[in-house]
Amino acid sequence: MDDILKLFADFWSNTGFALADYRYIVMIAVGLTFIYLGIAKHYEPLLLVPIGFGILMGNIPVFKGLGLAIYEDNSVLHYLYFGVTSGVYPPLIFLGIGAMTDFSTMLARPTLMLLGAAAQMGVFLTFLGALALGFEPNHAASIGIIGGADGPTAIFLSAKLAPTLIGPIAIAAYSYMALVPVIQPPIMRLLTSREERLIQMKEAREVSKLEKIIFPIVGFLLCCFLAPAALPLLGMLFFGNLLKECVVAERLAQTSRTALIDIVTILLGITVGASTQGDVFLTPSSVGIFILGALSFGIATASGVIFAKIINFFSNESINPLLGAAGVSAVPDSARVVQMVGQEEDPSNFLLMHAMAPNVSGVIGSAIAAGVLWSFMN
Amino acid sequence: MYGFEAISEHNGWAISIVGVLIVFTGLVTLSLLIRVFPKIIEIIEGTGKPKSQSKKSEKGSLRPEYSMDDKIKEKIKQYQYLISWMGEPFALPRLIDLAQKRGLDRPHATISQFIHASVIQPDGKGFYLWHAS
Repeated sequence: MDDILKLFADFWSNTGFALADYRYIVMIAVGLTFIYLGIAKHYEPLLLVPIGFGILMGNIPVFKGLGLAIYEDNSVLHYLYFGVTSGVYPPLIFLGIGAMTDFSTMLARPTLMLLGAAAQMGVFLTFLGALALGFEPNHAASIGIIGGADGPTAIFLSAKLAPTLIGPIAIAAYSYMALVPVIQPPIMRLLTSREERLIQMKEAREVSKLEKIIFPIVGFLLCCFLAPAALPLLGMLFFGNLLKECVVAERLAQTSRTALIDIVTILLGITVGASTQGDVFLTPSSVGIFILGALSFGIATASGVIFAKIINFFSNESINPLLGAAGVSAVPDSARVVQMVGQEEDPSNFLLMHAMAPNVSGVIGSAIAAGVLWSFMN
Repeated sequence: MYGFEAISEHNGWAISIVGVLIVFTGLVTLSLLIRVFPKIIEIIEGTGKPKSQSKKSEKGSLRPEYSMDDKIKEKIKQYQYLISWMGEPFALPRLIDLAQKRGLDRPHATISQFIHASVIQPDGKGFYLWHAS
């Protein structure tokens, strides 16, 4: 009888109920919130549902030594997480993004690219803020890139510069990307007048097929000669776009924008979520990262809008300053938000296509910013 | 170390200024190159003159003429069905919502085309009327 009781006691001591502490419970609540936001509110469901479930997976308290937890060598999750820590997944996601992105609105009106550059001010101002709060330079650079509003770029840079902070940085980046429809509109309304929000954009010129084919090659060569550290991200982004535009490699483009990006998104979401193990994740620095991330996002949005107003001051052709908010590279959510805020004032104002220009140039801008920070920190 | 002291100690000001300048240089240079793409293509194709289309949209009205190709005619049929179901005058957000629910391709862009082609016209009271002949 004693043996049976002892076995039961041993079994109980190895269950999640006995091993759990409040940190795991808090993180499970966070995971459930992510799943709720993804399913019920449709906030980036393709990201929040895998990340949310990954958080649940990472916060089942397990007996150390069994090779189950993500931070234990030889665990299955640890092997899958290698794609994150080695920086393999983000370039593959960029390949898919390139293969699904139509750069024609940007090619038709290249001036709007400057809004994508302006929004990167958020990255560098947050870098300064993180330094001021006492973060190490490598960590500060990784935190700053949250303002680029680009999850894969944030993960890529963190994997290179601050591997211990990948979890909080990735969760902060994806959370704020999902919350674009909540965070951006108040800032956009605060910084623009009704007259400015009513500005209608001129119809863009038609872009030829040849231009679309030349662009990824020229863009890749220029950007990577300027910031070689952005090669893994921009190389894959422009390669994916070339596959799409050249037409003759449609099968590869199709795979990149569907099966490949979906598989990588699943692996990335699950493992990033699982990396938020309560005892590792819930630290004061994680809280600092979340606060700085929110600031970074706000500054990036405001920088884009203000820069659009500056362009209007000097240019004869007015652009709707709301487009500046799409300079953060949350594609296509921030462009959709611009459309939504614009249509609140005038239902006949269609800004979505125009907003895609700063939106996709923001992707290029944040990858260059990541490359620059990486090279400086090395 | 905290505050400005930490920023100065880690060379933060210089990194930020140079970083922003590099990002701007990259995108400004790229945008300038993109601007000359059409001219380069004209030279490659040997047509001599720049295409009239881009000039036309610069000089001409904000509402260029749209040709009714077969694709647009097909879209008109789809939207005509939706509008006959909704009744006139109709609200644009409702039309977009319905089109999205029916899975129609790129509703915002299509409706924008219709407005520019005057297939959909405002009634002056905040609603719209269907004018496809």
